[in-house]
Amino acid sequence: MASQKTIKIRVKRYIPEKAEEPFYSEYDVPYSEDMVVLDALNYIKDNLDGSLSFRWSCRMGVCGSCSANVDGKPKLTCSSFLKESKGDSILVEPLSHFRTIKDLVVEIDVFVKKLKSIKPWIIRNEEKPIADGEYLQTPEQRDLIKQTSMCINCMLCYEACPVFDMDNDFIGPAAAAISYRSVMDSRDDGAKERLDILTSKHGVWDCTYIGECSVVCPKAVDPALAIQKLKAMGGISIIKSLLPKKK
Amino acid sequence: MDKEVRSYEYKPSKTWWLGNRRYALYMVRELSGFAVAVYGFIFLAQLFTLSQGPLAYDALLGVLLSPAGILLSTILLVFAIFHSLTWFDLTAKVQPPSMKGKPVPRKIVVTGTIIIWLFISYFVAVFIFRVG
Repeated sequence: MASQKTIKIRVKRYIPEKAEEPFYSEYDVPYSEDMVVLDALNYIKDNLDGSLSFRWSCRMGVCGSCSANVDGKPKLTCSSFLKESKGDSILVEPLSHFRTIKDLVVEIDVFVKKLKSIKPWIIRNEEKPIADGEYLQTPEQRDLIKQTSMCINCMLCYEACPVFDMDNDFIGPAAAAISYRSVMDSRDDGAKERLDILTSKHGVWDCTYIGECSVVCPKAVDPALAIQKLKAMGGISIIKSLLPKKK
Repeated sequence: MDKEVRSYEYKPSKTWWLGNRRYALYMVRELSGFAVAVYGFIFLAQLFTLSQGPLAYDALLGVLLSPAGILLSTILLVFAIFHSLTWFDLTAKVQPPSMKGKPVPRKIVVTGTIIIWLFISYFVAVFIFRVG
């Protein structure tokens, strides 16, 4: 009987109770063409080392929980096939622009706070009665926000952003893309409010348009573009606020 | 009460930009901005010496036309061209024009703006050399 083909999975670990510094663990995992990195991690957890910690949920690139660096690139582990790896081993590391709590689990409060700050919900000047029905959109209005609506908050764009690495206060790609989505939403009245936040200190101006955030996005969102458009809108908004108001 | 969670912070290395082609190109783009600023400074120096009279202007021109001056100008020119090209590329991304409701493909916008740039540069060069 032919022996089962295996692949080496090298995982960067951090166990604060065990060591001050991160270290690497290696595992030999049965290999098959249809396996993704998350499958390999689950195999390790179930069969080889129950102490390995990582986040995951949907297994289909929707929840954005399983983000990590796979062979040095920010990816969703549920969408990274083992067969895509060029070598005979795969390196899995936590997102390095966030503090590591344990193994591949990172502290996400810094992102959640940013998300909350840009009010990712519909802001209305006046709510219409429920009896009047839904707030409808035309297909053209929907098209304006379709791409940025695809964001799954996986934070891979933050991992790809050197500006965020240098300055954690920077609003960052995902929060800005989600803001753009709200600003462009035909049902929303909060554009001015959001642009004031986005053009304040640590807002969109910190972006130097490296563009890697858009490259790594697993949902083909273009946060870099959204930020540049917000800069243009923010600039116009600032100029308008400086002009004398019409009586 | 919240219990303090121990966590580990990775420090970025000084060579973070060498591991990714796009990061490296970004650093060159930023550096080329410095070269453009130096070129602007030289231009201002030329204007200043011009206001000081032909003697001062000729002295500066002598420095600029020395082998070291020409080498510096060549390096600045390469960086300035690179910087300009990256801006045409970025402009096509940031403000893609649309025709009949559909965005014009990026390659067409970049190529078009570069052709317009070369066209204008040609007439500027002709004007300068004829007047000169």
